[in-house]
Amino acid sequence: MSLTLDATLQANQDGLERHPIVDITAQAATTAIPFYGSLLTSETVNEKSPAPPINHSSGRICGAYVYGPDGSAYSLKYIYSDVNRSYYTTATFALGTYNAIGVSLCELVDGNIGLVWLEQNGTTYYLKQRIITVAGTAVSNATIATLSSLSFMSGPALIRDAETNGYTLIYTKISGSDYYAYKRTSTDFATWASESQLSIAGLTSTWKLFDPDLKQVTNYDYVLSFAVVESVGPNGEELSNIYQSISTDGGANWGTATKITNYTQYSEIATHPVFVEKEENSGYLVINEKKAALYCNYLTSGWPGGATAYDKVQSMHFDSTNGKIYALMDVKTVVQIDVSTWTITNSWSTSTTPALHSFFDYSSIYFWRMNHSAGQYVVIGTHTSPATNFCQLIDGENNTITTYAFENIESYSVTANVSGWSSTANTAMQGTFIDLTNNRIWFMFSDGSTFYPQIRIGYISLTDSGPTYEYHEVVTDSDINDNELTGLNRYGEIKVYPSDDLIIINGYGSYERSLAIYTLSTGVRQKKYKYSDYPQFPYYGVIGNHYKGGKVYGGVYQYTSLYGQENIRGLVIIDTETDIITYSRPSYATLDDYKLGRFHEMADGRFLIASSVSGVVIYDPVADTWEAYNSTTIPGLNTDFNSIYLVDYDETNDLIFCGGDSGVDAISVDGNFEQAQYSVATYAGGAWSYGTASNLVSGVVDYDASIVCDPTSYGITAFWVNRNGTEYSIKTGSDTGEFSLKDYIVRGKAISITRSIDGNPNQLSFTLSHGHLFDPFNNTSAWRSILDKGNKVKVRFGELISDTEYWQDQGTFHITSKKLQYKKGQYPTIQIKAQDIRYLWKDMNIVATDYYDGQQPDDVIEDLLTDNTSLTVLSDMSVPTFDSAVEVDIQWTNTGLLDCVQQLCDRFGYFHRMTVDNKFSCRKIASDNSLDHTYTNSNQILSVSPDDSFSSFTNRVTVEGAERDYSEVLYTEERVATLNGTVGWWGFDKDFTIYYSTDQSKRVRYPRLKVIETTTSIGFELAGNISEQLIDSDATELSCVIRVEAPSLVPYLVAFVAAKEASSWLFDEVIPYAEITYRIGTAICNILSVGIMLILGACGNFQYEVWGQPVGEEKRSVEATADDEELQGKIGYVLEERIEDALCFTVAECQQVADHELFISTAQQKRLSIEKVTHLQDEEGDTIRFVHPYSNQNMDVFVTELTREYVIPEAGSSEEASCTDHIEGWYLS
Amino acid sequence: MSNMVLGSYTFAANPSNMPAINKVLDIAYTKTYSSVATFSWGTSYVGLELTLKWEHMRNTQWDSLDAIYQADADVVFDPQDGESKTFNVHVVSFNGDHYLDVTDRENVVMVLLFRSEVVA
Repeated sequence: MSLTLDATLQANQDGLERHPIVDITAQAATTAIPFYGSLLTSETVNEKSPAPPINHSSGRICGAYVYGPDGSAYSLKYIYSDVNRSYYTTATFALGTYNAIGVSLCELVDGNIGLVWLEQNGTTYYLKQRIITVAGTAVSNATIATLSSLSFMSGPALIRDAETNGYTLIYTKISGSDYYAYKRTSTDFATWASESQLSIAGLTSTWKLFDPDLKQVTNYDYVLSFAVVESVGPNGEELSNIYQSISTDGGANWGTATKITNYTQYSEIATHPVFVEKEENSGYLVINEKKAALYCNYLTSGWPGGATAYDKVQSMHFDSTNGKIYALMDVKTVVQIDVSTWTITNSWSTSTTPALHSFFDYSSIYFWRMNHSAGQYVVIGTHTSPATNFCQLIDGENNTITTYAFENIESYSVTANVSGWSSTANTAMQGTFIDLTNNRIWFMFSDGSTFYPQIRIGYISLTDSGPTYEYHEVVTDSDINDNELTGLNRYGEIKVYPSDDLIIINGYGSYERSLAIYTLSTGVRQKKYKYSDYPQFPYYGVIGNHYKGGKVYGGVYQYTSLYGQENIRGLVIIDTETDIITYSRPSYATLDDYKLGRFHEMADGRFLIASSVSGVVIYDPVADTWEAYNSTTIPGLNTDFNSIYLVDYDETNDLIFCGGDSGVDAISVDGNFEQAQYSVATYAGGAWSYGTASNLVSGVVDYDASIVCDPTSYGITAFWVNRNGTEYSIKTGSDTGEFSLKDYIVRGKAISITRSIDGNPNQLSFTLSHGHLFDPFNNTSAWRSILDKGNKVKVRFGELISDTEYWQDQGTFHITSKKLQYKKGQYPTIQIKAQDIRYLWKDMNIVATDYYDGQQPDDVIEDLLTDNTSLTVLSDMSVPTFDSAVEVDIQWTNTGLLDCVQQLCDRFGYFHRMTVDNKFSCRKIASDNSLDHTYTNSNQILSVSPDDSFSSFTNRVTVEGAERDYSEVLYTEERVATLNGTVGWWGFDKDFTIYYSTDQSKRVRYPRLKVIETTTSIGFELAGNISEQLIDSDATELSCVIRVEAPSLVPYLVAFVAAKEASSWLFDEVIPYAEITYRIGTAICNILSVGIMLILGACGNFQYEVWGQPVGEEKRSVEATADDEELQGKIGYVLEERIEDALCFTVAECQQVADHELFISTAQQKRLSIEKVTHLQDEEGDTIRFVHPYSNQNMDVFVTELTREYVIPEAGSSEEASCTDHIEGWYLS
Repeated sequence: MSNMVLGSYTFAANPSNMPAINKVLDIAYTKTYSSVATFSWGTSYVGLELTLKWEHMRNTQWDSLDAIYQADADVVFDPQDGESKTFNVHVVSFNGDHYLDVTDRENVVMVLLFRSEVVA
């Protein structure tokens, strides 16, 4: 359906007298808050304590912060924007060597800026002031007061009273053992009155007050916000909350303090409040939420299973490349945590897509921390029966799961897919390890337990694409006893050290345990340490192993005073060259069992070690020193933190990650986590109330934020401190809402929009001035993030008609690239390119879509987009019912989202598009669409160019599909099974059930038995011979029965033996006269012996083959052809294009597609391009009637591509077309 | 007519030649196959270049105007032309010849780029 314009605009567009107008706006692709922010400067000197910024009467934003120490000197940095708030300029005011604490500023009556700040020198504080111009030129400075012998002071906060133009500053300080807020006032910002203590009810005098913030709101009330330490813990930890007091008389009297936040534990507290009035009766309160550690457990938003879920961690690691933590829980679930935002970004369970195998729903499944994952991979192996030799591998970045099944698990319908692996009795997987150096997943198996103890270690390459995976065995070690093997069962660990060419395994438990070292490249065992060979080796074994510089480190599993090991505690150190075993006992506590477990070596060579009794431990192997991080050493840390089993480290941000009984925790080596949050403030009934706090910034070490609201747009600009290791920097971020780019459009450069039916996203390009301000690398610019990649750009074209603006949307796009060049003497313009949202769908690979069974194509498209994008059917889509639609049966796997949509559109002769009002839709490609627009003359035509240069000579299209339903087919007879065996004189009568495939799924019809080898002997000949027959009795055709019968010769044997025994009594006959003996008895006996031997010799092998015709199911192919007989006749050739279409199920449907494709092919031979004056009604997919410029005959054109260009001319008049439509189309008639 | 003001400097002598300050009509036009189309983008002072010329200028005025030129910043221009309008302008060019052997100048040309009209 064509676009309908406003009637006035339509009339204007039909004419040639235009007054075009253009509007382009930019905004963040999603919400700007929480801010990621940009560094204000590239300084390496610390920047701290940003003052609450102010709106200056000139329109500028003004602020200040503390800079230093630079060497030993501090400075104040004053920052101010231009009146358009587009960039910042900084002025520096050197202070001395005293520690500058806080700064505040206000606009003075004359437009200058007044600054007040605190400096600290030991117990002496200096309250100082400075006046500067708004452009940062110093005017005057003075010391307001010197306050001596103080152990604490905080502030100041400064305002100018909008009603009286007087100035008030407030600070807090200690007085004896009490704390109070004080004020000083001035009428001229030159002379200050003495301090006076504020009388605020509702506070306990011994509560420490700090971080005061003072603002005046529209009704002239003073709003004083401050932080209060309500209690101090045994280790000096402080519990603080935010309070507020209001003065309705210019600061003379103050209302009872109101508690704003309600933190109740030392582990999470609030500090640094900043109140900002947005407009009358509404505003924001910004605070710091300060935490000793970050916790991610079942209480965390997004935790799979919610508050009832289990959160005991069984494996955990940090992917430093992608900044993600992966944690495997005891039951069912793997979570992915984004470290920068400390949010759960993905999870996998038996109910996700992709899903873990349903086996993991088994409630008694155990992992026993046997899995060592790394990088983006999470390996999930278990030795819980029946899946003792089964594991899955999650690729967290690509969101895929690979299954390695070493054997069939019939109860779970698991079919083995690993070759090169064999099992013996009781084979079980005991450990896994991801080796990123060589892209391998390693497995440690134990065999046989008591009877045939054996350890086997091997790997599967991560590059092996399957579906069958090759197992490569490296180690086979039978020199292991049952005790050692039991130590590996559940409590074993395998670690691979590729750079050292080593594999080390260890176990621990209640009996004698061992640690073994193998050469990775050969599989040969180098060493094995156990008590009976090395009395200094811990009798009960070690938890964890770590190899470094020829030494193996491990934690003593359990202290014992037996076996002469009464002095063995803490960390065992094995020198593998000398076999000397020594110990290091942690210095942070005096214990028998330090429970040192998993190791992680940090970049500086120190070891991060998990301790289930002391939290996280750091050991320096060079200096032999210890330190511990737990609730004792870090005030405010939860006691849960003391029981840690798994550790990892973020070298970039100095973060320690821990896995224990309560999810994943993180602590910073550099201090607490602090994150700025904000609440919406509402004034009603004489009081301010606050909504739920949300993150103002995304970083977890981003705090002390101050914000200012634009007085017109109410957009927020924020400044805050970002801590990176030990460096502190000021960051800034803005929520500009829709930012108008209209004033920066460069004249003479086209704003170009291309929309096509070819399936590519709509394209937008334009050029802006002020490139230096839009430059993302220009730290001083407040606009540098406005054109960030992915940000949204909306374009409108319109007309100014009788001083009224008439607009028509031209689409919503996302910035894909920007280009800017600084060159001496040239003005820096910036070129922007953008595409509609479909550009993301191109790269959006879908592992598996839903299975669509008999659904309409428009429904399938809507479902695809609903499942995989944020679009909703009601507000973001307008998909028509397809003409000649039929139900489709399809499921896509590993296919791009846009490809799925494209296939559906191609099948039914449609193209997909994003409309000008940013809705997804489809339009029909056809020669008989109704006319959308008729031009009655050539007045708007600039040029017409018939051009078929891109067409081919294709004159036949054949489309091949397949029927919906399967048909049964019989394949050529083949050998489908074999059977071997042995029969003998003892007799044989057995039915063998023979399946035609190992997975018992292959169907075979008309099976027959082919005897390759059988047994014949006189014994069997005498007894009736062997019987071999195939009994085809299985109705499912999955198996047959081979019956083998051989007669038993045992009765004959018994008879012969008895006869022989009897014949031994027969006499030989002696003929005396002839001196001859007739050995009749002997002969009979011999004959019987031969018979016995013949019977006993009646045994041998049989070998049979089963042949039959496999039964399968195939979809019958269907096809149809469309011919352009006219062209075939003209050129004398038939040039065919064959198309396979999985969405064609009948000949008629194939014919439909073939006819459509032939139409496109012939239409391409009738291409033409038309350049005309813009008409905002026209779109791609329209059928438009033009007047042929020469013949004056009507010609109908289907618009395949439309490029609309608006060029604002350089100053003055010029001969050019400002607004043009360039149409590529097909001549229809 | 009072003397013109540029920034905080009131001209000691007005220019001997200055075009009338008039909004510029930005318009494009093109001939179509059978007609002509016009695209008017309206009138505006924005982007107008105004050339002020002096046949002779005392060195004190030269120095004052040159300081504004060297400051390379937007300033307010009050032309005192009876229209009661002032403009944000940028001095984009300022040139002149030495006048005989004294420090005065002759054939001085100043070009002002109009950024916007100052809204009262």
